[in-house]
Amino acid sequence: MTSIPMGPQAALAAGVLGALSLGLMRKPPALALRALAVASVAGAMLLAVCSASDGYSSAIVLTDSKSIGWQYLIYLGALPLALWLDGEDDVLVALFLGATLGMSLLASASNLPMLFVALEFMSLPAYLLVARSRPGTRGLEAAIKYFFAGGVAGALFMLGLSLYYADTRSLAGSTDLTPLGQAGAGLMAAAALFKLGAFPLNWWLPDAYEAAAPEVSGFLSTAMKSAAVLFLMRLCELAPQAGFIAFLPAVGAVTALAGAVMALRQERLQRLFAFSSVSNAGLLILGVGAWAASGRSSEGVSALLFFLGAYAFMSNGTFAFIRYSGLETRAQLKGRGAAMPAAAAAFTILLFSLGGIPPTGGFMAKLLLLWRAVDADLYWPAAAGAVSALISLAYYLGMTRELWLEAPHGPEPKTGPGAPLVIACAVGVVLLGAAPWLMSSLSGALTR
Amino acid sequence: MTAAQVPWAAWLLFAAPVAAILIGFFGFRRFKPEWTHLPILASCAVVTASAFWLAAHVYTGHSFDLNLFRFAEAGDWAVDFGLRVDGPGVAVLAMVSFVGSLIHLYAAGYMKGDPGFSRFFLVFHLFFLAMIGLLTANNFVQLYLFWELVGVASYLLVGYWFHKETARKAALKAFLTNRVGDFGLLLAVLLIVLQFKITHFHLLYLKAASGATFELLPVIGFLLVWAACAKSAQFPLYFWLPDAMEGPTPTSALMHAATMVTAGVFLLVRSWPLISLVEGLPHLIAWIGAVTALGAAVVAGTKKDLKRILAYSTVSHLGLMMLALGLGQIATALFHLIVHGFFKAALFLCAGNIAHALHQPTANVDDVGGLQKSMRLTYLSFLLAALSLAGVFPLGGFFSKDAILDAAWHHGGALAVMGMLVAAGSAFYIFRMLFLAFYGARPEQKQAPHAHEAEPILGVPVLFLALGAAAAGLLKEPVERFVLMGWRGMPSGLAGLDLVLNLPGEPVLPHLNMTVAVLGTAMAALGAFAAWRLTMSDPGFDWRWRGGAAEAVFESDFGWKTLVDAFVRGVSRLAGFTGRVLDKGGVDGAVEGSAGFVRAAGAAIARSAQGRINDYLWWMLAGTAILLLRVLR
Amino acid sequence: MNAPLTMLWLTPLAGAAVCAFLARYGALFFSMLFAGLVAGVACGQSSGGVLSVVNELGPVWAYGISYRLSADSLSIGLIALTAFLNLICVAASWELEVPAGYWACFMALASALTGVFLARDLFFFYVFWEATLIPMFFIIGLWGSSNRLHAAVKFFLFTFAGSVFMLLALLALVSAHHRITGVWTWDLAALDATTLGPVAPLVFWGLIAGFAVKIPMFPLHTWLPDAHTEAPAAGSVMLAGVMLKMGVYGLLRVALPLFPTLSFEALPILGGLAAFSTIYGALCAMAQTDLKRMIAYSSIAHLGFCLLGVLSRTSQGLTGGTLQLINHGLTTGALFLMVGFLYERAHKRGLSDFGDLATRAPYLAFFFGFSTLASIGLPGLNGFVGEFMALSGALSVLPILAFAGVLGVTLAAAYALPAFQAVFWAPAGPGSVSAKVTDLNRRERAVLWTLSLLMLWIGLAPRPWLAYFEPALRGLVR
Repeated sequence: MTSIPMGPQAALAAGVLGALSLGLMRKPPALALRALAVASVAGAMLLAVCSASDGYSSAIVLTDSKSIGWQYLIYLGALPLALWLDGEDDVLVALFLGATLGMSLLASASNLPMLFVALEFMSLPAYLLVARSRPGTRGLEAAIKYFFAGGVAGALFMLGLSLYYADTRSLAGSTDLTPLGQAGAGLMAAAALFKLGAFPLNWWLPDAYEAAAPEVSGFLSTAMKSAAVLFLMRLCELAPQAGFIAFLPAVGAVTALAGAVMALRQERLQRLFAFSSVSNAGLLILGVGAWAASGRSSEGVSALLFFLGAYAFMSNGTFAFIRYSGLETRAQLKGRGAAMPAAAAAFTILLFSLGGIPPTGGFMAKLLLLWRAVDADLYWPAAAGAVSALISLAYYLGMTRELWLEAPHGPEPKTGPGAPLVIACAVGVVLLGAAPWLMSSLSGALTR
Repeated sequence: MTAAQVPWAAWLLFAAPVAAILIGFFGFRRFKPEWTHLPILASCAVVTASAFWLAAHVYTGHSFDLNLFRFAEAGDWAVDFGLRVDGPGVAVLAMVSFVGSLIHLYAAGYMKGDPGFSRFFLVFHLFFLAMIGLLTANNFVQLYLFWELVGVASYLLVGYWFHKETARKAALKAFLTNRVGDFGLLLAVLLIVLQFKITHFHLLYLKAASGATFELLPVIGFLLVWAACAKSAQFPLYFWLPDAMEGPTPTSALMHAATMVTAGVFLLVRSWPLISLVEGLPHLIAWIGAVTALGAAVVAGTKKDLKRILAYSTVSHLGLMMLALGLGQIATALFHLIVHGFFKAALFLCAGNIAHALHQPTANVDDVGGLQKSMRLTYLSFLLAALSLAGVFPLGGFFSKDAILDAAWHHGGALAVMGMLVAAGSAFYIFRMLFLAFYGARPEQKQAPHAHEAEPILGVPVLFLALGAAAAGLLKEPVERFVLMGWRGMPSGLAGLDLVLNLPGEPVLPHLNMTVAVLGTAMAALGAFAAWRLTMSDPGFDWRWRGGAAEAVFESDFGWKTLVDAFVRGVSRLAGFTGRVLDKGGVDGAVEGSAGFVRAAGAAIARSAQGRINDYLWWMLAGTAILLLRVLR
Repeated sequence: MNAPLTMLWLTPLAGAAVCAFLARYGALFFSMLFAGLVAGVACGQSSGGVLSVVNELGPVWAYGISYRLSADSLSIGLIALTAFLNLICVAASWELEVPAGYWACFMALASALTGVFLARDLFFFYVFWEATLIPMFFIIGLWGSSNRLHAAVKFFLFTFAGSVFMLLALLALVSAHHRITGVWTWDLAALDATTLGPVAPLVFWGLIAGFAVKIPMFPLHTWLPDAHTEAPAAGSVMLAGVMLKMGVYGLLRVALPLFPTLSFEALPILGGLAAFSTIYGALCAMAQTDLKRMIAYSSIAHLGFCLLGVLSRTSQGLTGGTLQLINHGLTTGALFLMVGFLYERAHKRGLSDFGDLATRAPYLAFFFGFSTLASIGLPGLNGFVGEFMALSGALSVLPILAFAGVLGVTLAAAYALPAFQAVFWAPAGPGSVSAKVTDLNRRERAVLWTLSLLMLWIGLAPRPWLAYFEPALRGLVR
């Protein structure tokens, strides 16, 4: 197969147009919309596979191995939402595909303005997704807050870009930086860290994740997180002398710890997983820092890829479980294991994986990431990351305990669709753990 | 010499008791518990015959010592187990097996009908077996094995009537105190391994006598003495023994006469070539012995319980043996050990007969009096044994005690005086006991309504023992010969053992010294007279002095028991503090607390931004500012 | 010789799957099969020396991780202990009313433990190491007693905390090796040969953190009393019998060979903590009012002896310390089983809840007394041999340690015997549940006879056992 430049993005753009077109009908056919969403994402994935063999680059976009790898991750993270999206709502489908398109563009952007454009392309639909995915005003409120904060982040990036350009007269990276350029790079990094949810730029995240429908939270925490990681990596590549890079491991360590610590006392599951996602983002930032510190090694890239890949399974799986089981709080988890054994067992596997217990993908992911940090002599951040994994285990185990070891009380919640997805994700993480070379050979092929 | 040349008798010493215990445990205990004693009595007979045969064998110059199998091994570290049948060992062995067998026979009558009859006999025989093993061990590890086994068996026997709280407490006290002593022995054995690389007695003797200096030897010696003090009930660790009479009377008899308490003295005899090399240590032993002997003799004169009087008497006599040891008189110490075995067993069994006649586990001087008429045979046995104990010529006790007094006299000074005082004290307490129990019938005593003579199975063994106690003086020469046999080169056995062993202070019994003999007898007479004066000519005296300050002093053994109790309470408080406060609150509290701290911290941070846009923006800008500051610095 | 070692850990894992359908019969069959297999491998080993299988997972595996199993006598000895105690556990819980998951958890646990003892690739070592936690978490959490939830989570988190640092240490080790040699490898034998330079202390103490929690060494021990007390009887047996041994095994297999000098320099600290553990454990045990908790604290003391011996790096210390691992498994296993039998009958464990059991349940009293004596180191029974040799080793290196250790031996009687007396000798108090206690049945007696005879055998003739372990430890002697 021959590769088509920007093929995946084209497929997604076509999907957006298609969804909007279908929306012109009085009563858009749900099945068609859903099929469109799945087909766009799957098509983008397929086209990404085709274009993996040869690179492509232009002034504003490029298709290098990282770009392809991250596109896989983004589509992998988006696929569950495409499958379970409310097909009645044509706008939602368009927003979803639009956000995915933004992420995809982010993965391919090769200079700073393009990064900004892609960032906004990704973010704007995401705000609306949060607002629209659930009936009621809570989503709206969270979306507005998210929008405000995101706007400020965008402004910071713009400001940083201006300062950076003023210093270097370049939009595609430079080596020497004066304090002006350093400040610009720092401001741009702050925007990226905001998207990732680094502490203390993370406060939008729990509100947004809690207010959105579970599957949307899953999408945000996987596909968008992947895109944001790449965003940060691109910044590191474009401004290799920037001072913020040396600061990344510490930011990551603090974020990992803070996220884990804050998740401890959360009662609502979606909020808990939001904080857990902050903690994982911290590890990712640490991973990016280690990757940058070790001369941007390919091992560092594959570690990040593996982590994000495993996390795509874990996070989508857990949010799918929340959607499937209809359970909203930890108290409601109590004793529910017996009522839904298969899904609950799969959920338990996902929890153990999130906690980093072998033999699961989550373990391998944490291992590879921390290993990069240790290899880059970042002992303290690595130790902090390990401690965050330990703290996070307290609530993952706590949920396991509530699910299986405690007595149920209260009415049985209504279960929804999604059990197969939970199980599929659990199988995925077990496969990744038991046979991690599946992923690593994939990533190895991609980053060659 | 190979294992094949070991005489049959030596194998039988172990084979018979082990077989008897196994048959008893798996056969009789399940199907015919009241017959459990049959295989065990048979085993006693076999053991006694074997022991005498071996004694004769050794007496004719055929002692042996050989390693039988390697117990444990790692690299160049090894421990061999073997068999040592030499003079000191076999001399004590003959006494132990003879006296022990008679006590077994007695027990068959005494324990008849007891619901735990079968259990009693099995453990009783185990006790006996452990002592045989201890006496024939050829190295320190093996000795330690049997030493501990003796301790466990005594624990089970003292606590035999475990429904009684006093029995449980006494058993625990006995075991734990011995454990405190074992601390010394275990450490000593470990140090011996470290210092000498071997634990075999005879090789150790040779090494120690080679003239090289061994810097750990003083520590080893001291620890061995410490261990012996616990097992042989010497000050400061004697206090378990008087309580240990909570067991059935045959247990007390066996423990006091043959098996348990003699082990400590025997340990010192075994390690004498090491101990004698440590300057000052023999002297320390002598002083420990003298102080214990005198203190216990005084306290024995104040006790009411018959068995308790005898228990303190044992402590006192063990003190005499220690005194003899400390003065370098190995043979004297062993001789007294053997004579003491006879008269003490007889006395205990007499006390048992009295208690048996009253149908109670133990008897008090308040309960009995004037038994001389109703229990003739017991009276006669008691009298013989008591006279022997008091050192009346020509009974056995006279010769053994005289030899010790003689040694003390030669040493001179305070030890000589203390020895004489002990002689007086011994006569006092035993005559007091004799008078109170068998004479009189005082108004203060509750006269036993139906005291009657015991049946033959209880009477005859006692009589034999008493006769033995009377005639034991004849053993003086053989024991001397046995001991010399032990120290000189072994005629056969391990390679290297035929080297001549030159030990400091060759043990030779002092010849009869008229001054000491007369003085000792006079002291005994003085004690006896005092006893007569206070019990016979002033019959109510023994009841009048009780309850005053004097009783408090004597009951607490001059305050030492109070100190020990305080120490035990201290340890138990320390344990309570460690387990309940330090571990629960401190260490575990820190662990649980840190978890709680992290949770609280999480809640606090999560509270700091409560979903207001203002909070978001503030944190964002603050975070960005920090980042910029770091970047620009 | 490829298949047998892989079979060793796969067999119980297959058993775990089968147990979901066949429950106890599956467990019995597979634990017997497993034991048979271990015996077979041990026999093959006695003629052929060290069994080993190396199976590289292929070049795609870019991290130097390879599937590498090997079994010397140390491994096989501990695997045999696992298989034996697993069988004992199945036999002892035969009449429990438990779902299939119970049996599956035990088989899975046996599999993971076997993996730990076989793995010679540190990656797999760690994976198996952590995998042991999951079945034990459920064993405690699902079939434990009243406070099981807290205990299960505490157990998991606490021991995981130690392993996290161990993992970091392993990562640093592999990275440092790569930096020096340019080769990525997790192979223990290959890592053994390199000198690490400045990161060495970091790696060493990280490893020690992981092992010390497992052992457990003061002050990292407080998960143990909770976990042991709340676990079901068979769970406590596996926990004390095998899982605690992982720590000492790790020390023997990883920390000592990799860091001969550092481990010696650390002797005053580690040995001091070990010696202190023996006294501290004994004192804590004295203060307990719960029978199981008391035995749990005694384990801390006992493992202190193992540690003392192993750390001394003398022939007798290493061999004795290793033998003590087996001894502790047998003795404490028997004690936990008996407390479990008591609990099954009366649903109580407190010292004051019983009394006069020597009259009511003479067999129980006999076996309990026997095991107690073995546990306090009575010569002639197994505990003595290990303790004596371990202390002898420690004495030759740092006498003060052995002194403290002997004090620990002395104190052992001060907690074990009063507890024995309170339960078996003292009259039953007013609130006592002794009336519910029936004597052991035939199955339970058979289990305990097996254990007791082994204790006696090791106690009287330990030489074959020592000779079995000694070759594997020879290389560690300083």
